[in-house]
Amino acid sequence: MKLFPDDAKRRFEAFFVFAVILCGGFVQYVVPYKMAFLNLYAIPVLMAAYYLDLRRTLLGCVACILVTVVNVWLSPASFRSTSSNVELTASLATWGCFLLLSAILVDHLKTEFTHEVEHGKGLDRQISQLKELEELKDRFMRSITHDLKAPLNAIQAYAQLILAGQTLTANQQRQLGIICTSTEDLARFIDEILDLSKLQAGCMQFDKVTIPMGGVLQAVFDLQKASADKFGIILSLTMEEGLPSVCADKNQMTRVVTNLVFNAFKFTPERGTVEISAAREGATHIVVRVRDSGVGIPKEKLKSIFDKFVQVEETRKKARVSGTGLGLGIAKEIVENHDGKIWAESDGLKGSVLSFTLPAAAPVAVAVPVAVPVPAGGA
Amino acid sequence: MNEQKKVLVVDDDIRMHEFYAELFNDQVVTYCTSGEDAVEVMNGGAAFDLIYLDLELLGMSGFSTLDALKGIAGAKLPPVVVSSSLSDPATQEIAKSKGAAAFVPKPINLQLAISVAQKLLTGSAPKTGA
Repeated sequence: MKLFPDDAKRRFEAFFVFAVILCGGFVQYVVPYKMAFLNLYAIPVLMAAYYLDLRRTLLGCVACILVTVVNVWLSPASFRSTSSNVELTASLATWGCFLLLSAILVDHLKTEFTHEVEHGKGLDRQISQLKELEELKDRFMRSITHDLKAPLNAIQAYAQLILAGQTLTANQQRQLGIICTSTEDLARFIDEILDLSKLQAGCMQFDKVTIPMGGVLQAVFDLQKASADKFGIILSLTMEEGLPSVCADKNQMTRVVTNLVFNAFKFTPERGTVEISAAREGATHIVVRVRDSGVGIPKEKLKSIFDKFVQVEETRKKARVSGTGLGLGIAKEIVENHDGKIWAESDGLKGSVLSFTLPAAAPVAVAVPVAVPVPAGGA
Repeated sequence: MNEQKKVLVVDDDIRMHEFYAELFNDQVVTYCTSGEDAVEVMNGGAAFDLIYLDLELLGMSGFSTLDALKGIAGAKLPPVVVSSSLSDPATQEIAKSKGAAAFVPKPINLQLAISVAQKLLTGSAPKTGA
């Protein structure tokens, strides 16, 4: 895409024509009538200023003036409107000054426009270079998905086959199980890197529709209940009644909540609790909270836990399962893509709360206590 | 003994072919490493009971292959299982909309692969492991 060149050129040409006309008019006014043809000098001078460099233009200008002055002094009186050579020379000097100034001005504008044109070309070049880089990155990412994951797929497929063979000792089974889960972790890690880079580049497509957030939370709760039981954690879900819908990508929202819950699982000891809750936040938003009774987050790390690859060092050692350190970063990107906010709270010792807000799809009807008695067992 | 079924596997990763051989160990399996090969096989008049299709193929993509196979076999196209590392919901949705009978994400979960294969080949409910 061209940014400036055409426009700049047109603008310059318009000015050029204007300058010539102005110059002609001025000369008509200043120089005695019969010398008006001198304004024709303006055209080659201004053209020279445009196509040549200023120094040569000025030299040419001075030469023109000298030739004219000499002509004036030598030409017969009948050719002039005034008989005084001095008067005529003064008029010519005024005209010459104007011509010189015009040449300088035209040259200046030319330099400026040329710079603008070059700058435009530079921008064009930079834009196309950036596009090339972007394509290269895309190709690289695609080849990572394919070439890095293909061997992993094979490792896992055969490990599972051997595991299903039932001729293994308990130790071998356990070790093959580790191979399987490790390849799964690695595959997930690659997916997460790809997703995060897509999110950060703004390339992730969101299918935003009006959905009840309660449904998303219930689905995550149902899905994660088994993991919670496995870890010996008490998982609970509480939702405010009449929670408004949100305009969001259901799969991505499920992912956000899953990542927060998974993060809570990682740092919550056995017999600990993880509570998912959702409520209205003011008149326009809803807030989802995932509270855990885990190891907590130091105050100074509360913001950075949403950064890429950040896992609080002290807590990392305490994590029950290793994570990629990308889950919260992905959650943050997704929430912010939905015009929401995400943050963490913790006293740094015991437990933490990770919360995010989302705008409600329709204005939230704030629950105002109404003084109308509801009959018992009504509705 | 059950009648042997014919399975067409389209996957450019030949390391996986032995896995498919184990997965479909009672069946006759034909392997293709590209969409173009699969189209050629189908154009040759071969009939299958199941097609196992990878998405990230070199050359013709998995989805283009699926479209082409649909064009060749029409209503006689056997159930197609799409299997891919690209397993995000959007891709699964596209696969479904293009008529895939099932989606098996990679890395392949053996139990899922077995149950899908059993269901589509025998039409019977699979015996689930866990």
